[in-house]
Formats: sequence, structure tokens, C-alpha cells
Amino acid sequence: MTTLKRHYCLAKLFFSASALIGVTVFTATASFCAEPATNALGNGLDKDSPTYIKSEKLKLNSTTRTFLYEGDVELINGDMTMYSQILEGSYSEDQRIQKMVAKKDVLIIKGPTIRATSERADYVEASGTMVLTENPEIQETGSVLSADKVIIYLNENRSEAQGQVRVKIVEAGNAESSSKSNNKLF
Amino acid sequence: MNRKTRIRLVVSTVVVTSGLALLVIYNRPPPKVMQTASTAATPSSAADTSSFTLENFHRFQTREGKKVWDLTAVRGKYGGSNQNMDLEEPYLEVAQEQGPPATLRSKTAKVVIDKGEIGAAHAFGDVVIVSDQVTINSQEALYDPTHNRLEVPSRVKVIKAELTVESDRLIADTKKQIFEFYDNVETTLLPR
Repeated sequence: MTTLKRHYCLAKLFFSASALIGVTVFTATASFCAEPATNALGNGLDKDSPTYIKSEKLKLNSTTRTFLYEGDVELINGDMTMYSQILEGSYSEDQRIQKMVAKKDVLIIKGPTIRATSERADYVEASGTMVLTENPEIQETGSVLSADKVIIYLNENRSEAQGQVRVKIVEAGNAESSSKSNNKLF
Repeated sequence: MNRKTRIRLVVSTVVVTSGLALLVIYNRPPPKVMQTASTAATPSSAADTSSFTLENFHRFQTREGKKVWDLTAVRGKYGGSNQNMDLEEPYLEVAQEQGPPATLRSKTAKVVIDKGEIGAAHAFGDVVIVSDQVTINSQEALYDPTHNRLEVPSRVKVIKAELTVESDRLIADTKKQIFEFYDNVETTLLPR
């Protein structure tokens, strides 16, 4: 298996040159470049912003410091909103979220650029990342990237796809796999 | 006063004193468990002869010298069984294995005392429960300290330091510190 590392900006040139609207598949590690992080807050969630979580049910164990949200879960922290059906995890003594796993119908919207879906998302505090597995897809202004694994770097406003990466380019405001070349988005 | 009269007086005094002493001894509570109610009682109404109202209600229980629970209220009305009480502005303290006692305060409450234990406290109006740095606010709560169970059937807010959780219903195990929130759950975790 060839491992490629392509920068989003390079991909932009590639797709512009090929003028191909459709689906491109390649085995790679693809990084989406983005704006520099606007705030350096350390790893993980934005610790200077409150975290709001809505759901239909919550089981909270203060002794083991674990939580389980169920039913239309919505988490908002800084410029990130995450939806799922289940959200479970643990928190530290000083009430910081240490571990968090979102399951079923996961949708993550981070700022104006990142919109990702999957069936599972693991928050890793040490690296400040959200790791999406089980059919992860990430969208960015019309392009859809799917892979075995998608990693969102919460503080760097960038994401990375690993494994078998597929990129779909979608016409703006229209159905995907359009044949029009003058509306290409990269 | 002649000698016979003096003897009669002395004998009468001894008999009365002994009688009183015996009365006190027979009416003493068990040595290890003590319950006390300090109140001023008045009949609640002419029609309701089976209940009476107590002003400045205070009742507590100790076990082996330690207070198990302490219940005060501005006014308390005993039911016919003498176990059910309707209290106004009650304040209940229940000793915990560790740390300060758990407390409950509300506008009114129905409290059941069964064999010296608080069987249940059904509190209404501005209910505030504090247990192990957790504060619970609601308009209604059913607290069963014997089984460490708390049920809040109405909108409830639970606060612990920077963490606040609100929901339409709550069931909690106060000993294991397990909280189950149901319907319209909203959590806010403020930054430190």
C-alpha cells in the first residue's frame, strides 16, 4: 500500500488541472490545510469557553466520575458543535472532561470550515483531537472526503484522513458528481 | 407541730419522692437510642381530635451518642398515627458516614417517621437539598434517607462547583452518588 501525504492545497491544484468532477479514490493520508489556530488554548476542548450539553437522559456517577448521555445529544464548546445519540466518558477531579466517546449519528461542526460525520468519535484529550471512525466523512465547502479514520485537531482547525481516502467533489448548491467543470470547487 | 405530725410529713415526702423517682426510671428511653420532641402542643381543631399542631417543632434521634437525624420546623401537625407529620418550613439534617450531614429545606413537607427512622420526606416549594458539595434545587422532592433514594418529579437543578445539570426529572442514589436525569437534560460546565 502506497502511503501518500497530500496537502489540501496540492489537492486543489490537482483537481483543478484534471477538471474532473466526480469521485477520486486513493490510499493516502490526506491533510486538509486550514487557517492557523486563532487561539492557543492547549490540548482538547476550549477550556476558556463553557461546555453545554443537551440530551434526553443523563446518568452521572460522581464516585467513578463517569457520564452517559443518551438521546439527541448536542455538545457545544467554543466554535465546535457535536451531535450524537450517545455520549459517554469520564471527567477529572477538577471536573475537566478527560475521555469522551460519541456514538451513533455523529455530526461535528467546527467553525465555518469543518463538518464531519461518522458513527463513532473518540475525544483524546492528550492530543487535543477528535478521532472519527466507522464510516467517517468530512465535508468542506462542497467536497466530501471519506476514509477509514478522520482526525480533527481541535486547536489547530485542521483535519487529517487516514486509510483508504475517497474524495467526492460536489457542485456548489447542487447534487454531487456533477459533470459541470466550470463549477469546480477546488 | 407535734412529733406525730412531723413523722407523717416525713413519711409522705419519702413516698411521694420515691413514686416520682420510679416514674422517671420507668419512663426513661432506651440507653442507646434516643428520640426527643420539644414542642408546644395545641389541638388543631375541634373537629379533628386525632391530630395536633406543634409550634417550634424539633425532633431528633441519636444512636450511641451520635445524632442520626435532626428535624426542625416552624410548625408541625401530627396525624392520627403519630408517625405522619405535616411540617411548615422544615429543616432536616441526616448524618452521613463521612463529611457534614445532608440537609433538606423547603416550604412544607410531609414526613413519615417509622420506628425511629425517617421513612420518607416529601418536600414541596423551594426545595434545597445539600449533600456532599452537591446542591439540588426544585419545587418538589421525595427523599428517603433510609434507602438513600432521592426522587425529584419536577424541573430540577443540580449544582456541583462549576457543573450544573438541569432536567425535568431526577432519580438519585445519594450514597453511591449516582444521578439519573430524564427529559430535557441541560448540562453547563463552566471554565475554571
